[in-house]
Amino acid sequence: MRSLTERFGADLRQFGGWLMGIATAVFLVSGLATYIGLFAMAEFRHGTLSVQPPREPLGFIRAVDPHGSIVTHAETVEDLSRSMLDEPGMGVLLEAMERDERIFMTLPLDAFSQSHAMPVELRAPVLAIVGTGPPFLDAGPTDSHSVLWGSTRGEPDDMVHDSAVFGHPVRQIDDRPPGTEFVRGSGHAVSADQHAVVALTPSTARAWGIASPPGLAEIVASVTCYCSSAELSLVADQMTAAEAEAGTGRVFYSTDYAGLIGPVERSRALTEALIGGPVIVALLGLLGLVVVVLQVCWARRWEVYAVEVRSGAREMAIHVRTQLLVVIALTVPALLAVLLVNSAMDPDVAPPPLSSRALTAVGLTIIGAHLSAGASMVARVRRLCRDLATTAREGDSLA
Amino acid sequence: MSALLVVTVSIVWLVIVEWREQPTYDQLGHDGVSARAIVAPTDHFAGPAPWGERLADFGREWDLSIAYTRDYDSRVVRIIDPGGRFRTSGTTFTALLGERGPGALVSSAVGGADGSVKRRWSSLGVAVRGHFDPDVQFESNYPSLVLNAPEYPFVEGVYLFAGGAHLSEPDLERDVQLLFESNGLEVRHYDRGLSTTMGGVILDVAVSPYGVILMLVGVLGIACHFIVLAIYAAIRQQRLSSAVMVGADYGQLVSMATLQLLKPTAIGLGAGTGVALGVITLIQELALAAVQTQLAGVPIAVAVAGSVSAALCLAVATIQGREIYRAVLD
Repeated sequence: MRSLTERFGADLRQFGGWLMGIATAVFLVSGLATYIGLFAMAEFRHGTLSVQPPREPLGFIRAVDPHGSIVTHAETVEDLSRSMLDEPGMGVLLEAMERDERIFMTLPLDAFSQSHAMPVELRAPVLAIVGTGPPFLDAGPTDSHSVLWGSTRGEPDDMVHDSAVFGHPVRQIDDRPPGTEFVRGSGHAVSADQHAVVALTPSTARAWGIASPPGLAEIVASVTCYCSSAELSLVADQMTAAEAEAGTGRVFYSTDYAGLIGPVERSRALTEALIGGPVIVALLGLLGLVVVVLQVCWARRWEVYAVEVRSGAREMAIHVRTQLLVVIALTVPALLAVLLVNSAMDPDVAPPPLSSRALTAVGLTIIGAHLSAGASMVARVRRLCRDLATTAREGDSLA
Repeated sequence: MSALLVVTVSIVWLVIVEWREQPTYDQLGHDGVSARAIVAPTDHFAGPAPWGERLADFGREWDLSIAYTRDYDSRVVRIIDPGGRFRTSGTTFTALLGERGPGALVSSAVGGADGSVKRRWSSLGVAVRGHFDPDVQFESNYPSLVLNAPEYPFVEGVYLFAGGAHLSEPDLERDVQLLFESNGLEVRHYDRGLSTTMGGVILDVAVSPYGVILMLVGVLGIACHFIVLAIYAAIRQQRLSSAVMVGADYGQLVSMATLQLLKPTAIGLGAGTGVALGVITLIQELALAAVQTQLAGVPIAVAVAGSVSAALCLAVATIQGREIYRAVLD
């Protein structure tokens, strides 16, 4: 009697061409879908997070700067030698941030490095969150030390490492990013799960300083308050008064979430999600094709299976052989394509590769696809074995 | 497969109608053609001079409405729009501002009873005349303040020219450049706005990377559909062979084969229509396009998917019929 391996080898010899063709198609389409899916998912995640109305009231600050322009910047020697955080309005804002831990600003860490003689260029982005204790962080900074989630290992500049940044002591809370979600000053919700985060107090921020660029309006636009816009407008009015006293003519005002995120962003998030639709449909089409091809394989092979069952082959052995055909045609090429494309993605360049949780979800989806394609084969094998058993019983009773 | 085709075409329709709506919302509610100029001071810029009246005359001459901002971050937008092309929540900004000299409208999203903003513009002699709901954008930002004050300097920044047929005239770009140059400014960049017509958007999509992916998916999908139909037909060819043996002619054979394939196709079209309607029900609140516009895609999708599927069924049935007929006759 031939072994299971030999019998499966015979299956493969009969369907080699079909299996090769379908496995190649699955591999190519899965790889393409993974690549497009990574971009669509990054956009969709950004979009959907951003269009979810916040549970709590949120306030943001914007500035009308008489010298502000999208075309030119007043980049004089004086501007570069003076920190933007020393401007009168920013002084008022930093004091308000010292008093109220609901107000914070988020900027790239290298924005602060510009005030040093040699600007620091970071290999991977590091987010700096300025505030006395933003509610979404587990630990808050103090004036004596900042706090770090994630790691800055690998950064070539000795001004930035895990125990000190710009000469200021840093306490590392975890070597992974905090993974917490919060709303940036742009109104977009983000998840700090990809890159390192440094939290520092307003007085530390003032000590580090920020030279233009970014401009003052851009710095102010990075501020979020987990409070109402009306409450934040009191701070904006004080900032305007301080600037008026200095004669700069700058005006600050507060706005709520609806002033930043609205129907256009919801529509963009929707289209970003829908763009991935045809790719999903293509994958479903491919799954349909696999099911039909398996049906053809069955139509050509069931008589062989019937003879084998009659000769004493176990039902489980037939199940294993038919499911292995699904594994070769669908499961392995799909998994290989996903893993290959995912491993080729650079974690420091958008879009990032799939996280382990997302990879698990994709793996489960592929197993789900295997089960849905393999279910019909299970049903056919069962029916065949049942019919043969019934026929055998009827034959026995007639005998 | 026909169900998937209906769903795909419905999704593509939804994307296209949203891409058609988005530029309208991004140019202060103007739903026609537009041009955009980014303007910078020249070396001999003498400083801001109030030349808004000349700009307004230029707009009247070319039948254009003009929106301007110096700084995205400020979200302050100035308009010259006697024709009432810029609108919010279905009402023109011009109507909300009235015709009583320079006035401003503050977004209802601005906190603290307009606070600093109101005081600032009041001190400059601009009366704050009311509020508007932030539902349209200018340069991808919801304005916080919209004002009509031609006596204040129009300087560097971004200008939107909204109008009709005149925007396609080649003389306009040259005249825009001359207008700014005569006021110490130069046009650094000039472009036509995004399409707001269905044909324009479809053309834009067709030449975009998304369009190329869609075409690739379309070709793969149709090939997949053909293969599935061919396999389905091959599995059920016994009945047709029997029909030829009992005397069915070639025409009868092809019509039998077609009907055999059309039955699952019709079920698929029904299922696809159900899924497409379900998707629209789920997403209609997020979309800018009216529900009727979204729903208009479903009959189009059914017509496209139905035609493609019917053509494929006929092709497969013809090939299958010929093969069976020959095989049986041989």
